[in-house]
Amino acid sequence: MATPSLGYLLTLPKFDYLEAKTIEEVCSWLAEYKGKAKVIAGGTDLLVSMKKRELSPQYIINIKAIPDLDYIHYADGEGLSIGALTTLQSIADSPIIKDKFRLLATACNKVGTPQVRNMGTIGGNIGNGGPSQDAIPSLLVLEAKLRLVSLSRERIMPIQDFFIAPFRTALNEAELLTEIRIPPPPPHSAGSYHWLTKTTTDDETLVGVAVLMTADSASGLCQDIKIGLCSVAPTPIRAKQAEELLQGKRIETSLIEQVAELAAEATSPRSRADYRRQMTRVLVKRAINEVWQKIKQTIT
Amino acid sequence: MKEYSVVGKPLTRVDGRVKVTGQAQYAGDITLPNMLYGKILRSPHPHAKIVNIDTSQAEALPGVKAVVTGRDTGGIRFGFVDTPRYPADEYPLAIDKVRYIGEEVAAVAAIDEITAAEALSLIEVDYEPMPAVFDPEEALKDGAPKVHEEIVPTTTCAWQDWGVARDARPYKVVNNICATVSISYGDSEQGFKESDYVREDRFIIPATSHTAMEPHVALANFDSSDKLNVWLSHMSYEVKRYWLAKTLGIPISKVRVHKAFIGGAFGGKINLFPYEFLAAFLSRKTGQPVRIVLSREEVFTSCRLSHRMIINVKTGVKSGGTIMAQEVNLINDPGAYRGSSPVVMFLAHSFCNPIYNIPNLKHKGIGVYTNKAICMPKRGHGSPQARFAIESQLDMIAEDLGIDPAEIRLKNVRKTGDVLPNGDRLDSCGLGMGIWRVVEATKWKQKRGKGNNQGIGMGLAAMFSGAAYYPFGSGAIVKLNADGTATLFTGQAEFGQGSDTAMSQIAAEVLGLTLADIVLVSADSELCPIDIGGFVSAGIFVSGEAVRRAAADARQQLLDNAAEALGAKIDDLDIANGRIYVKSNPEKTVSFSQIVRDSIQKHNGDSIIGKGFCKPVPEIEFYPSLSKGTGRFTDAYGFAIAVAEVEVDPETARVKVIRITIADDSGFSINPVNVQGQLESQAVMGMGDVLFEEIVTDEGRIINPSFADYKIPGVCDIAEFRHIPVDSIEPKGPFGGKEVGECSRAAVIAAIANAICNAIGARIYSLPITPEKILEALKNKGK
Amino acid sequence: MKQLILLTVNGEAYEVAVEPRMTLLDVLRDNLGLTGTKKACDLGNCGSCTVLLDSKPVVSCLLLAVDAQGRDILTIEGLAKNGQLHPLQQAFIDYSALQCGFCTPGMLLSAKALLDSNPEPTEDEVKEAISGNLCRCTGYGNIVEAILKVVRSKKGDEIR
Repeated sequence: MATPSLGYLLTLPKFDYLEAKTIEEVCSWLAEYKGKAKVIAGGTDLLVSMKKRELSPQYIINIKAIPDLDYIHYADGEGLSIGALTTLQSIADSPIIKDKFRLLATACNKVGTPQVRNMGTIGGNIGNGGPSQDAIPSLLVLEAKLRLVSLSRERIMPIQDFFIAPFRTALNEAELLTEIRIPPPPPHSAGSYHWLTKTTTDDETLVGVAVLMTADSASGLCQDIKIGLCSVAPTPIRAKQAEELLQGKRIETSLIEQVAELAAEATSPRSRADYRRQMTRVLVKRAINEVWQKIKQTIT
Repeated sequence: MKEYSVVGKPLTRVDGRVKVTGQAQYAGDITLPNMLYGKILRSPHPHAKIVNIDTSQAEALPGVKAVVTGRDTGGIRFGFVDTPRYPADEYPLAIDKVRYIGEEVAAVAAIDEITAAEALSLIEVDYEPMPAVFDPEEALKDGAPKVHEEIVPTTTCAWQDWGVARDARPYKVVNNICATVSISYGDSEQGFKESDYVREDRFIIPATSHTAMEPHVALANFDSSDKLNVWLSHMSYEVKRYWLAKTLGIPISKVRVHKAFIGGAFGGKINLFPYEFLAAFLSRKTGQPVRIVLSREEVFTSCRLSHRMIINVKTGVKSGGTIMAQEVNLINDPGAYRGSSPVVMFLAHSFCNPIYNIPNLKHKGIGVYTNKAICMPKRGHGSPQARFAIESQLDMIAEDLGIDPAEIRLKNVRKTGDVLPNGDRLDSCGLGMGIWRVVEATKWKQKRGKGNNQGIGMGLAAMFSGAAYYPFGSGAIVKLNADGTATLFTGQAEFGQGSDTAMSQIAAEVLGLTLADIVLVSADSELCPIDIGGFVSAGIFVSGEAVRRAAADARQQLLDNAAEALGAKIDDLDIANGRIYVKSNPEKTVSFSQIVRDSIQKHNGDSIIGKGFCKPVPEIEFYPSLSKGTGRFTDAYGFAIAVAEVEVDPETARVKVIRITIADDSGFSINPVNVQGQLESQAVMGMGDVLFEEIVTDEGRIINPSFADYKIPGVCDIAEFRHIPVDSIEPKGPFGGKEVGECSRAAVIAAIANAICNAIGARIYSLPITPEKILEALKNKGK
Repeated sequence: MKQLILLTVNGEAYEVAVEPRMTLLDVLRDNLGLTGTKKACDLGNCGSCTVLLDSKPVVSCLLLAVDAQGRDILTIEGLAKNGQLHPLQQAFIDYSALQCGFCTPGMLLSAKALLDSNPEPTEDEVKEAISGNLCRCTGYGNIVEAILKVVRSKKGDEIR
């Protein structure tokens, strides 16, 4: 874990600054400056890495001037679409997201500090590709799709497939993430995001658990459950085996415990491993209990 | 209780407006014409020989005005401790080897920060890494890497300069030992024999950071008269002046520390640091002002940490809970240089001395060099570590004997009038009363043993009110102005603790003026008299008393003149609202301005100037023996009793601190709202110590040198806070005041630790108390 | 290579020559002499460098100066108007919500942004609004209290 010898000064290295006015512009620059260029939106991750001398891109491309990338739209039947330049605070404060996808608002509100949330964008948060990004478990369980745009094509990728390794995503060099799409919430479903921080209340997330469950309160049957985790594996993950255990079954305490146990087994934390695994179990259990209560309380 | 007009009142601080408007100039805000920017190259190795340093490319970079290495500063050493027995061992720049990651190796001054940073990257240092040692118990073993060879003084030592008639002598480093302490009185062996129950436990306390919000900074400028002008973030200008003068080889009268606002200190800004010396050295070399501002990472790695300790406590008690004997053995790991090791080991005893009446005691400490960052005082300096150990063990003893922890403390606490083994007398001691008050206020008895994952715990601490350390005293000057205001000159440095306000309140009270009538000139060494500083808990007790005496002197002169003007006897006069009046005939008055005018015109131009001075312990000249603990130490102790209430989540083992209650005996509060501010500050800081804070190292590298990875409490972490002042008047303090700024942190730490252990029914022997440690302790419970 | 940029700070237009790598924090302090905004960690963790950008609190140490063009920047120097303190500034003094003062400018701006967008916050909302501003001196209690006092006095519950 070698720190570059002058990283302690926290000064920014030199770089050329470009401002993109269109998506085509940024993609063509990314293509031209293969690997030597980085996109800057909120800058809260990039500039920190650069000050610590972990990264020294030759070109920085500011994409905030590109129009029509900062929006939150919802349409019944179509679902939610969020522009990649939408700030985390906008998502946290959005009435429609708080109403229909509350866990995502909660997760985005947890990230960093108010100042960082006003600067950081959802696109940057996803593009960061780190294992601990709070927003990702919610997007995983909501089965979000990402629109990735390059000069030659546009593709839609399920967020499931986006994370390859810590800080490595499926985004190609000359590609830009432009939009996040989330299908409408299923009826009789509820979601929640639970987390524990490393130390203080506002510290980074140690374990993050998002759960989206669809269930029938009359029969007590779980129709569908999705469990998303962050900070407990090289990338954010879904605990698929755990999900399968509960799907189609009656929701009861002992089964929830088993599901939580399986979710914990799906983790592979690098540090504080025992505690993270244990806490995954605790939080998955708490999250499932909470969404089950929410579903039971909803008047259909 | 006497009713005062200004002291004892919760008046708003005098520096509030400049701070809330952003106008307050901290040292890093000040720009001088032609100013250069300095940056420091630091060692990436924990232990390495410096084979060669090539600065030629850096010097050739356009915009670079000077580059310096150890050969330019060769031979000079400084340190917080520089005594005949312990010669200073720190260098402004490493000479032949580096001893910890972050140690200063070279420095540059350039036209801007970007150029200075670039110049650093052009300096080529040839290191030859050597085996390093990181664990103090390993460092003590034969064959361990030697952090230091023999330390040979190259000049007189500081204490010689300050008047101790003993030559500095070489210090032979054996087994990496940098200092030892051995204090004893009574017969602890016999005491244990007479005990019904004896416990022995071991505790580990890690290093923490002060994290004052203002990073360390120095601006230095040699002016046209060869005077060194500096603007620093500091706690005592006399200490800085002395060391700057000595290391630069200039007379102390040629060093002026200017007033600058200071953004917090907590003990982390006391002694001379390399960056301060370097700013001055580079200014002299370039002939231009040089400003060095450290990055937060540099502050974490090189601006000292609180002391790491391994503390072994053995205590013997009677079955009723009376303490018969105690033996403390501690290993202090101050890092690669001595730092304040002998002092912290001495204070770990001295701050405990006034709390419990322990008839037989042995206190032994060894300071051990390791290849890690250096440790220095932090708010309580030895007390937080010692109280955590001793208070934790006392709770365990209480539980083993079936005695309530508050009861066992009441049984052993000292009282007003007690004389300590070293001769200090407790003229004010609110310990017993304080325990009663918190037990009542917190409903201790009902909550103790409540279960339900909740816990309540208590911790006691004591703190001195100044001791003999350079410059050994404080002076103050009060100058009456013709318009009825008064100008107060005091050297006290305001770094948030409220000294500017408190000193002004004292002067105003004595002179019968309001706070707004006091014009304050503080912390400028050219304009103000000597001052003992703000790091020995002497602000109120010593400097405040000096101010009181200066104001009293001026007051006396006023009354003398007024007696003549009004044709009255002095004892028939009193002062209020800027006027002197005859008590028996209040219609007869004269204003200050009239008196001052009269005095000038009728009495040879005497404009009425008052002076006053004070020292921490009138009877003694120098410091008590650090290593033996004998001799008078301080003239008054402050006390704190903290009670913490916590809730522990049984599944996640997360601790929520619900409430912290502090009963403090800080004598009379000159400014009650500032006193409360100090206590609340320590309540939150103590919480950080117990739950969150730890400097983590890996092979000597600090791996959490940022606010992202070293977390201090944020607003969402705070507990309910309650303050219970214990009525107390310290007869020797100004208006009865004494120390408050650094006593409670230790009491809070002990209280929260005890509360957590009460909640979970198991003991944790090291800080911080993490969820993992709690789960581990629960697992081992009953084994 | 320096480029000329136009910054609008506290309602005034400033023309400054900057390198792209200079942060807004550095430009405010070193080029414009507005030293009220403080550098305490330079990595966006402590909030001491908080300024309001189009009324929203941001950490100026992580904002490139070139990126701040065309936006409305409010620093602590712009809080008082014509020598009249903002109610928050007065409350901080009155309720002892500061000691060393280094975190204070950032703290005040975060509080102002809150009250401008949410005039009647709950205590939890106040805490959340200043959760990105670290303070080592006060223990936060008085800061929260000072902000709530301004909220209540605006509501007319309490005149102070």
